[in-house]
Amino acid sequence: MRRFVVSMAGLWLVPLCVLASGGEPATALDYHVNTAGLSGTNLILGNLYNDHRVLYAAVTTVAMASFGIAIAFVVDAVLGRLGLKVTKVEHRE
Amino acid sequence: MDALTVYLPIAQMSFSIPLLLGLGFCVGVLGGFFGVGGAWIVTPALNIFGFNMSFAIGTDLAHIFGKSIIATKKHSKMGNVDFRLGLISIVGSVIGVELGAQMVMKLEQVGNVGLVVRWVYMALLYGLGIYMTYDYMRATRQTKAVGTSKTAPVAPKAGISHKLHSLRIPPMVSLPASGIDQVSFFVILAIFTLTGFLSGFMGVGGGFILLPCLIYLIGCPTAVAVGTSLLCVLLMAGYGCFSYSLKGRTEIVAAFVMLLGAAIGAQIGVLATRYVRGYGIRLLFAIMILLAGTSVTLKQAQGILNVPWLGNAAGFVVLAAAGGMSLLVTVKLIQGAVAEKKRTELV
Repeated sequence: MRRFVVSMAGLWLVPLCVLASGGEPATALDYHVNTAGLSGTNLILGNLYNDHRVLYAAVTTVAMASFGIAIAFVVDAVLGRLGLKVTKVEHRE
Repeated sequence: MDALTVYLPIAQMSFSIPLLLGLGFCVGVLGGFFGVGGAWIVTPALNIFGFNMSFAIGTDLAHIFGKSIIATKKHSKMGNVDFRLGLISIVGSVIGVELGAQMVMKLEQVGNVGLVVRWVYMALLYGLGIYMTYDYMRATRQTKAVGTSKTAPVAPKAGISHKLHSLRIPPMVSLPASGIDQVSFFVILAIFTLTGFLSGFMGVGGGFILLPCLIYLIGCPTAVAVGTSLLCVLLMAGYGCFSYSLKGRTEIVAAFVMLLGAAIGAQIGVLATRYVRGYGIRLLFAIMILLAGTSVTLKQAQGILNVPWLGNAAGFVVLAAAGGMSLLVTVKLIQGAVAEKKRTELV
């Protein structure tokens, strides 16, 4: 049941993202990153921001989600090794 | 000193790494403990420290998205997330947010949107804060009266949630994770539409409205309300992150650094809910939103009295409140863990 609900929530996000990508931004933002002094990852990010805004949005969203999931798993594993395994708790008011 | 600063390529400025980590940590603790996004803390803070306001909002939403994933996963392991309720919340929230936004447009035509929004915001923060404090005191008095002062306060038998549960408008849904046998789907939808409306109207994430509504209107146990509220925040922040990035208003490097701090903070916040009983969480939440109300009042006073330093004072009140509360939650976690260890050793 939980998997079904999570999948449905995921499916709900897709049309929301499509909705977000459609139409003009709420207010025009005339902003370009000056890439002259940039190098490495910063240069890649700057170019992505300037030239491929949709890709930049997708990369930001996916990167945040992936990073969040990765940290959650790593910390769970570390806490598990330390004997701090999190289990279901009784709700006390 | 250079080792402690990071260059933000999109915002095109250097920023202190400890500051970003610290902000992320505080908001992570509060998010994990109260089930809120924490935009009302981070956005003014980033703005005070030099971020353009639109970048502050977008960057904040991006890091909230990542942080909420971490905290929701942990709460889910502890059985604190009602996924069914979370799913219904999205439908209601989207309708509500749109209605709230429409109301703002109407008020904008009249020309006093800013003033109305700020007054409603203050009324809501003070109203919820005072009611939750009163509720805590009443429950504590009740418990003392029955001579069980060493145990947790007893929840009222008949509250607003019980009355709402008795409304038999089909279809009825069961929420076992929240311990609710039967409640009308439309009642839940109406509640989430209301919270969504307030979010859309005031331009806030809505975690601080959701938590009391889940507790007092839907009747969730406090810990489940925290976990479920986080799930709702996660979904809305995911959308917000994409939308703001598309409009070029997120600073990905800053969001990453903040997320690192938030990842640690969220773990502390979530684990602390194991050791603090539901009414304790409610009281701390009430204190937090009363302080947030004070900050908004100072901001409002700045506009009315035309005293610039009141605006900075408003930001610092929020930061001090967030820092202090994070520290308190961390102490509660340590105390709880030590007590648990002692109990285990005794056994």
